[in-house]
Amino acid sequence: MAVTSLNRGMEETDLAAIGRVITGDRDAFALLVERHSRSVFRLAFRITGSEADADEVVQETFLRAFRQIHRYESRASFATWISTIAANLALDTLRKRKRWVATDEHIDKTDAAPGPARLAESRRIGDVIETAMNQLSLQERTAFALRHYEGLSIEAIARELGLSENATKQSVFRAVAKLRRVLGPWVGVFLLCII
Amino acid sequence: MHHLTDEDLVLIYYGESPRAHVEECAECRARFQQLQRLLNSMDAAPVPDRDASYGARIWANVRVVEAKRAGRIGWAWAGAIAAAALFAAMLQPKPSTEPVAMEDVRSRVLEAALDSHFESTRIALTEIVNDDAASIDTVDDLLADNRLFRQSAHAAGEVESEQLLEDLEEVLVEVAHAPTGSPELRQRIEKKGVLFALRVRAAKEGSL
Ligand SMILES: [Zn+2]
Repeated sequence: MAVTSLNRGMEETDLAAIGRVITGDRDAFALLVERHSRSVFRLAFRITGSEADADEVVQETFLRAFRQIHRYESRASFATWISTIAANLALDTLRKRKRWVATDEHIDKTDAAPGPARLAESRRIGDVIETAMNQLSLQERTAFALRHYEGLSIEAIARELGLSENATKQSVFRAVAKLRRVLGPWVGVFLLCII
Repeated sequence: MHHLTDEDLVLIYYGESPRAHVEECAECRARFQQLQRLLNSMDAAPVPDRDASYGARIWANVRVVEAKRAGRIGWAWAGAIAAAALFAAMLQPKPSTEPVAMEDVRSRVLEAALDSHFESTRIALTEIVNDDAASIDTVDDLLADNRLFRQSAHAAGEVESEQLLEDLEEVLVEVAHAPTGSPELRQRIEKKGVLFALRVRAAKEGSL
């Protein structure tokens, strides 16, 4: 109950700030940046895997949001809207860098992934998870980050990434299957660390 | 009875499919719990964070880019704002070890950015005093940046600069709200003595 009313309060304030920006008080946008930039950074980092890229994505995300604020529709929260802008930009960044080896056509080549013995050397949970995330294609990685970390529905992700609902679903499924392949042996170790 | 596919279990995990079967069927429940452990463990990935002033820096940069696009300010001015944002960034404690000479860099960056800010403010206020009204957008930008600089100066313990910035802020607020070209406004700017203070400072820096 308390959480719901708190969330609603936050959304109203976001909406009020957006209203002020649209009516010419551009400094009201500062509040939105202040409130959402750190979570956008975390999302951008989860998709790009690079702090420098994530910073760039955050910058570009808010610049774009500022310029297109009149296009914001309150069907989604501002947080969701800004997340999807960031996810698309993060995806573009990765495409430009061509950093990703895995593509949707190479799904079955993940057997070349480092085995548990190799992973044991890296020790850090973060490294292991990052290794697993690196097995995902751009689309899988983005769809998974939006579904898992941002809590967006498959339908919303499909709309925002311009994919069909089925393609989005398949991306999430493939992402989970690949994660399972790499992380499966590690799950017990992770749980010990989380607890 | 049909058992659930891996895909069904993923949808259930994310609340996009009803979980009734998982409650009833021990076999599927066991598989679901395994998936839960896998996906919950994804939350254990450490993600770097940004400090509380991150938003302010991002916003400062957005403003610079936008202002440049709108042609309201020159490159030098944009550089000064960017430097102020950089300075604010450097004030934040970093988790990693900092180079020893960081204090020097900080004060040099602030100095350079401040000089530029004072010069722009001096030019704008001189225009207003000479009835050559500066645009309200320029004044708004100056005011916003003045606030940023004042906070930076305060954090850096630059008492003298902070005092001048405080005086400037009062004047800029008045200018922003007064009708352009009002004679009382000119008198008030002159009475405050900020233009004089700015000229003195510029002379000291050897830029006038
Ligand atoms: Zn079953």
